[in-house]
Amino acid sequence: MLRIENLIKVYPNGTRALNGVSLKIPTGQFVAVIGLSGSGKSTLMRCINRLIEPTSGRVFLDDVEITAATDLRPVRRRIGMIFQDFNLVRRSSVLTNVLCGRLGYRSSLASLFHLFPPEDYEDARACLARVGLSDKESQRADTLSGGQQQRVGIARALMQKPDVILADEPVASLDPATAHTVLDHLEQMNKRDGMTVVCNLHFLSLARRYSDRVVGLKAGEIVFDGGPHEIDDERFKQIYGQDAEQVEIA
Amino acid sequence: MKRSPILAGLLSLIAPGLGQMYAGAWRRGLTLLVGLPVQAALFHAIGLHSLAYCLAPVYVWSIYDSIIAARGRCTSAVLPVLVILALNVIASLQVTQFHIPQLGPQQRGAMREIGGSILVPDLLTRTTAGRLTWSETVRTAARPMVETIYLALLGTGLSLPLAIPLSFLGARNLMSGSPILKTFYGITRGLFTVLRSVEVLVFALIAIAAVGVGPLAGVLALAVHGVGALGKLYSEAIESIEHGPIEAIRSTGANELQVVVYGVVPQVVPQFIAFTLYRWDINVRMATVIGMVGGGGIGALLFQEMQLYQWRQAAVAIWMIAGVVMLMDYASAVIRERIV
Repeated sequence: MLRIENLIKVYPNGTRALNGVSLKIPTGQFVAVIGLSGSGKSTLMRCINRLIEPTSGRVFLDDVEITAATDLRPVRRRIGMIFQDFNLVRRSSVLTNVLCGRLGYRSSLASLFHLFPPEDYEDARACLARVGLSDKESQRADTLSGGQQQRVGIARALMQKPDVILADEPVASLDPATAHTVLDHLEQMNKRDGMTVVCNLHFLSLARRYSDRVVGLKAGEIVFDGGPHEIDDERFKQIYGQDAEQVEIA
Repeated sequence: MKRSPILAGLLSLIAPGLGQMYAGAWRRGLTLLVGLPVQAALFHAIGLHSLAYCLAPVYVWSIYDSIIAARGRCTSAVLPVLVILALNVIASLQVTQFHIPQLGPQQRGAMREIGGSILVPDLLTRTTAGRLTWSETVRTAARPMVETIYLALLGTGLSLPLAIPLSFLGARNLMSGSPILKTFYGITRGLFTVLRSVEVLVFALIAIAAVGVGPLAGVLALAVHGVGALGKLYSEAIESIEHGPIEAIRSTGANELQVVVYGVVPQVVPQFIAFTLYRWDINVRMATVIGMVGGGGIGALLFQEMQLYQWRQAAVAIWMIAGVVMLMDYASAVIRERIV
């Protein structure tokens, strides 16, 4: 269970990105967060694993209060994150990028000398096999296509053996066909491995296709929370504004 | 608010710039109010009193300008700026006692001799058997030339153990977390600036006083200066990295050291190598000058030969330095292109 209580984030320049967000996400749920750019979706994600410090409010993962944790390592490694721009280290090999997912479990000294135990290599290769990139492990990350890079990003998150996946616009930089491949992987992690998935999405059609629940954010507040098929035209306009039109992605 | 042009003019008559400030042109007003007296004081201080009086037209212009400014318009400052620039050029000619030298037949002869000798360096000689071979000068110069290259290499190498770790402390993007980190950032950058702004020659003279004449002094001077120069370049390389991968690695639960090792280092390595090569290249050039003040290497030899008016011998050293610098310049450019 991921529990968010009255989360508020005010940036130093005065922008109120989150204005009292509360959510309860049961373990194993696939939640799509939709809303316009600037509605606070990315801020919400980063406040969950404290890449951004919330101004006030509390976040719990099961019984652990993340917002009160002094050592973030044990909780961060339980939360895998996937990014819009993949965020791989371009000049490092694919395998090294995947191994980075295990850093939260390993000591500083070992990392300083680039040492990982053999089982980490086995796991990394298994994760790469799972996303279908076994043959790419020694290539530099920036030689891969966008879809392949995002799959490396997924493998890196899998290496953490996480309970929760935070996906921040994971398919916004990809073409529709590749987008489905990536989301299918997320679906599999959700259905087969029982990971909780929180996924920011631009397209309502993708949210309908993949999620169990849709949360609509607008100006840092939740304006919709319900099943993916409960969103009619009126609700859609509530989230996206009066002038918005629905755009489908196949 | 309506401004009175007469009052503005009167204010600028009392003190140039006051009128402009009254009219709302703060920046120009303040520049005049501070700049003109400082400029006049400077001319007086170096004894060029007549130049100070030549600032009068600017004073008159400032009164005119304040009146125009009070009417809500703006005049061009090009003319007064040119006047002040011209006065300072005159002052610099006076202070340095610059003059076009009058060349007598004797000086002309000397110049012809030196120029001719440099174009015909003492490169080759004939053995008693009549074979062409490298001259004695070339043989003597070869060793100090190599010494200079190694001196520069060691000078560069010795700056690395300090410059590399410090550069992480001097990178704003890594050090913006807390006030303590920001303080370290400020101190590190300050240190870089101080080390960089002091000329290598000054460090060389200090090192010579400390450890005596010779290559060791040169190495130390290059190393100390290099910490500042390289540290700044490295820090800027770190500041230009992509933030996304850093965020991604941090989100896996990695600690700060792991973030640096896996996120920062791979991104900056090529630039670090390029800057280091570039520094070595610069240090070879610097090492020759350091040699002239007693820091060892080919500079010392060159200095000696020039003192003895052995221009054809000195020319060998000059051409050797030029050749080596050209080669290193070319090589470092090629390598930089390959790895970045």
